[in-house]
Amino acid sequence: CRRLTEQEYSMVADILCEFLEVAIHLILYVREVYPSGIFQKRKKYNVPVQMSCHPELNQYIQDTLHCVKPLIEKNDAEKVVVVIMDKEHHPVERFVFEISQPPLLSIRFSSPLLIRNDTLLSHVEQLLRAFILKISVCDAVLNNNPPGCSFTVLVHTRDAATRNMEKVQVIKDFPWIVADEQEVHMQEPRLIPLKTMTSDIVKMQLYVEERTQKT
Amino acid sequence: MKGGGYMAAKVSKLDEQFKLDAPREKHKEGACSSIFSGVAIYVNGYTEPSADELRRLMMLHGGQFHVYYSRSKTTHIIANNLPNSKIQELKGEKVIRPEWITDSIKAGRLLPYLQYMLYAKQKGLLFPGMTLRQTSEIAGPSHRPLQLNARQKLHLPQRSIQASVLNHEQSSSGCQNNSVPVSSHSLPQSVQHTSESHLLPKQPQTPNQLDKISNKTHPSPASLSLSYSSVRLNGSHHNAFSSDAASLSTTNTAATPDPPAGNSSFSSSSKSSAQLLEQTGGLISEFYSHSRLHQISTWRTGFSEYVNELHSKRKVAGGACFAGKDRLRKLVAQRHVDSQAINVKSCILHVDMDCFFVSVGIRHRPELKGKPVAVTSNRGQARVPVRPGANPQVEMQYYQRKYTNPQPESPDSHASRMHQETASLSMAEIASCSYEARQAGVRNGMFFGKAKQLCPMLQSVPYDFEAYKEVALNMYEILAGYTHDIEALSCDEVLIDGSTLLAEVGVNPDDLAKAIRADIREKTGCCASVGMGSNILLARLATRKAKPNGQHFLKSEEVDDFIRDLPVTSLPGVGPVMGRKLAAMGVRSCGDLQQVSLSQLQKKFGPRTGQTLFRFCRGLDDRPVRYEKERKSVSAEMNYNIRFTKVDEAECFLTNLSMEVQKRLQEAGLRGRRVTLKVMVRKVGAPVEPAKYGGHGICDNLARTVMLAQSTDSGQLIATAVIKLLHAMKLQVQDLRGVGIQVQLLEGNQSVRQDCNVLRKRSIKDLLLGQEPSAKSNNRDTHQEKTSSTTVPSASSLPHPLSPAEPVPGTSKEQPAFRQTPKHSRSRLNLSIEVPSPSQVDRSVLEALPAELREQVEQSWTKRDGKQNNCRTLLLQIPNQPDSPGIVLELPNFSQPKNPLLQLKQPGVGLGRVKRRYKRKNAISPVKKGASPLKKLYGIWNLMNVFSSHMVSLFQTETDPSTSSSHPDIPESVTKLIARPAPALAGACDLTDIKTLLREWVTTITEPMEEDILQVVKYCTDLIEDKDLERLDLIIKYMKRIMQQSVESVWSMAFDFILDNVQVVVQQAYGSTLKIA
Repeated sequence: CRRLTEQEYSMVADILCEFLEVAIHLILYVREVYPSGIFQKRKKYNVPVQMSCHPELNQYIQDTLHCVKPLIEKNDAEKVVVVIMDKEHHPVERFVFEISQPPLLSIRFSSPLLIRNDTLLSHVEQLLRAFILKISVCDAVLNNNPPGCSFTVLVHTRDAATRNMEKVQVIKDFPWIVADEQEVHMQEPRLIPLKTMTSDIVKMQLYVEERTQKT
Repeated sequence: MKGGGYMAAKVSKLDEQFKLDAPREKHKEGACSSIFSGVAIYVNGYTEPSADELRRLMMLHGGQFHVYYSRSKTTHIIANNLPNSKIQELKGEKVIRPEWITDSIKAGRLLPYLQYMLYAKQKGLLFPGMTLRQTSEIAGPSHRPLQLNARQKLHLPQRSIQASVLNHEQSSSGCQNNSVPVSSHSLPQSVQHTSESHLLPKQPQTPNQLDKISNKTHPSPASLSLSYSSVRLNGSHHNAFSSDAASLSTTNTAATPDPPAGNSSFSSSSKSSAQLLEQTGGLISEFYSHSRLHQISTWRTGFSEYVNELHSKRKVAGGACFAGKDRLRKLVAQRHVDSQAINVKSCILHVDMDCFFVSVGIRHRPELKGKPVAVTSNRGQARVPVRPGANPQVEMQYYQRKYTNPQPESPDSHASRMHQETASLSMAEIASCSYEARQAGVRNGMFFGKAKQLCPMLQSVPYDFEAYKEVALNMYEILAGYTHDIEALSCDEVLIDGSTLLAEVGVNPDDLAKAIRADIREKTGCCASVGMGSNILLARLATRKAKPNGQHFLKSEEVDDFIRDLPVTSLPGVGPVMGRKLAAMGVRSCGDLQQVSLSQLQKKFGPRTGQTLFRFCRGLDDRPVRYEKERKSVSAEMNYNIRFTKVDEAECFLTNLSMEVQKRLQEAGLRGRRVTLKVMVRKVGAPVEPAKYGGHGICDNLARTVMLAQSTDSGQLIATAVIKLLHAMKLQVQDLRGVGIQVQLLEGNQSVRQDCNVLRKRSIKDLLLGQEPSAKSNNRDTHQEKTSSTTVPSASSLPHPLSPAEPVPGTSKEQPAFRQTPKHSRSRLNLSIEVPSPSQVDRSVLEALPAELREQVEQSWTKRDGKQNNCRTLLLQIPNQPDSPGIVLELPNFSQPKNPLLQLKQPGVGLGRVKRRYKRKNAISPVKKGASPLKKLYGIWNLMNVFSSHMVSLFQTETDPSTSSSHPDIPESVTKLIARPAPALAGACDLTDIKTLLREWVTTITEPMEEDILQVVKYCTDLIEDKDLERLDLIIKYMKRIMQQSVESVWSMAFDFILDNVQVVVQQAYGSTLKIA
């Protein structure tokens, strides 16, 4: 057993960010944060997904993930959270992607190049597909959101990862700020686990926290 | 309060105004005092009398009145009632009813405000809601009234320690550095052991009576000051004075003016404890090794181990000599006739020494026999002056309320009456007293001063710890001479399963008891009582009838009549709290209890306790006499003389205490994952200095728990964890009165070792062990160069020193690592064993292997040849758990570099079969009661271990001296880095397996057992930690479905219990609770 190499981490980050982008779009669609008119059906991981066509929204999501990626590479991101907030900017729902390292790299991948093998990648793809499918049906277990919601993305970092982020922010002109207590705190949250995956390269689970009284 | 400038100015102006007004008011009124000097009140809301009136009163009596509340300056908040939101806001502040002020003025002095508090810091009202700390213990099935927290191996005496009473004055006059705190906590526990009396006197004394007696015993005030002997069961004095402490104390006291000296001694002693902390890192371990009371409390474990040892010795020797048994045989032979007639199916004997401490204490002092005698640290004097800061009568009241009467009485009159009499009585507790003393109303656990009033003739006997140990060991030896079916309950209390013995020897129980008692009497000089019955409960109840110095056999036909009239509180596990609850239901005797239905009891006390009660009151008890016990937790705590002044002192103390825990863990060969910090914090409003010197006084008990990433026995890790917890609790270190650290979720060699033994007999022995010796003897020569080594690859991501990537140098070095493995291999699922190359394995060894195994090994060679790689890992996949991470053993050889590997996915021989058979046999069988079926499944892992160890031993050369004889130290890293296993329920990892398991459980059993429920909770908790909420969700939903469907309402209760527990953990981990549809 061994740890992942830097190269492999960057690959993991690539895979995850790609997935997060799809997931965020889909969440915004499923939870009706934006009108369904701005979404278009595409295919990803061999299943249909909804992606926004709104250039500014897309850019925002991309920029966000661009900053998240280096954190994932360094294993600094503990959680990536898509927060849906009501008109008063109080969170009503939180989609939490909790990312951690796999328990150990199994013996099968003791050679660094083996991680690139196709069976692994297709396995990971299958797992990610399961996430997407879960997201697309999550409205069944969630209560409806009040009208006029907006969203934001929060990243929970491990320790003092923010300092290292500043460089990237300057380059991209896309600053991150420490989240307000108001945006983080939710009254009487209820937790709905959606999906957990444990693959050889990453361990991730998605759960939703929902405010008990949404309106 | 923003805009601080203005407000500050206004507040100070108001203060000035108050100061100006005060003299004027005083002048006007005439009557004034300074009762309230140092008190600053703030009146919140409507009060009776009004705020204005209170302001005036404060002016008159030297207090301050704040118009605006200030957290730093205001000392008391006065209110008649507060809305909930304000209670929240003022959490932790002293909120007091205005009667405190009026009553204080009436009394002419500042009354303690404890009883006037509107509410306490902790939830619940201060007095009425108090419950004993033991409640949880009571609810348990244990027949010991209190289970000891602090467990430690029995240490035989390293140095002789003498019991002496250190006078307080003496300690203040320069010797305080040598005084070591003693846990007062261990005292009540040992008291509880010797008899089931209450900690505190039950009947409040009528003041007149007290007065009379105190006048008789202590006519002059001079004797009052003389008798200032503080309650100090000190552990160790290295000072020269300690031997003649008594004489010193008398000379000193004569010259001691009380209050100021006491004051200084208080501060200096608190300083000294701090100094000690800094000076000696080993203070705590020293304290524990010296505290004899603590040792007594740990003896039970020691004796349990002694019994265990007896058993293992007998196993080895194949038989033991039973001196007592032989004597019995002779006895029977002598009177051959009548003994045959008796036929007792099962007979439990409960042997209990009669007032153990006393009878040991006076066995060489015949002049004290038949006199009222009490064992206590106090040397006969019953009175001590009050130390400043201490407020005994408040505590007295508190305890009285807490333990005896739930009715609040008018506090002020009571307080003033109490004040005169009991304030200065000695608070040395009586550990044990003779029957003569008991007749006079003295009870164990009573304070000595009080007892002396009840029984002026009372003689005190000092502790004699060496003698206790000697006598106790003697007693155990005597009993072991009869049988080894012994369960040690304490140093003076033993359960014996006499069934086989009686059948073997053909003697009746009464004769056996007689023989045992005569033996004990002869060899120890102390009396023992023996109760006998067909089960543990009846034996214990019979002992009550047998005492003192007698024996009683409760025949099964008498049971009904006997038990019907017993008060419920005489049942084990029914303490004062439950007794009160039952009394509220109108249940006083066991006969009453028999009228209550099972479901009613279960509703009221929970499924488990309810059932226990239901059975107990009918004289039913199916607990076996257990001579082997598994440890659930390791802990160390101290609540004596804990006075910190700074945070780093507390931290330092915690570190030291952690080291003590480390020591104990290592002694027991255990590591734990859950660390709990328990603290006692001075209750808000309780006196700063408790009445008992160095004691903890009135406290709130708080506890915080943290899960470590992996099991540990490292004191450092534990210390970091608990220090974090302490900070998280945000307490004033000054208010800490007791600190304890407990480590749970233990894993280690003990239990595994036992399980292995069992399993070995069942399956593996037949499989492998039988063939091993022949293989060895045949092949001495060829084995010479064979090597073997084992590694335990860590499943954590941490780098491992013995990872397969590294070349493994030698044989002898690695071997111990293998020996280490069974210790923590519970968690492993699959084995991967590196197979030596064909040239290295002796053919005959191979032939000795079962066919399928041989096939696998051979297959591994062919594959290896094909790949031209030296792959020597054989992954034995166990059916039913295909996707579990596998790791355990490797057998590398150094002649070839290793690298790739191959996997054989054949179900290993008998293994698969054995396992399946095993599972079928033990999985959730409704027939078997007593042991948890789920727990038994853990055996599978152990089976795997045994298997793997035999694999290894097959490849191992025994003739090579370098391998067989040398066992160097076990590499630390192997023991410390234990991989966290995938969460599993009774060995099942796969979701469908778990569902099957749960379904079987729910459908086949009408009543879930607590152990099983806890296993499920544990599994759910593991899932949360493993961040697998999805599966948790699925399993909870599944359980909800099947359990709530079940006809038995117990199952829905079980589900609620599981869910509640899971929600708590989820709440801790995620700050929210699961949404259950």
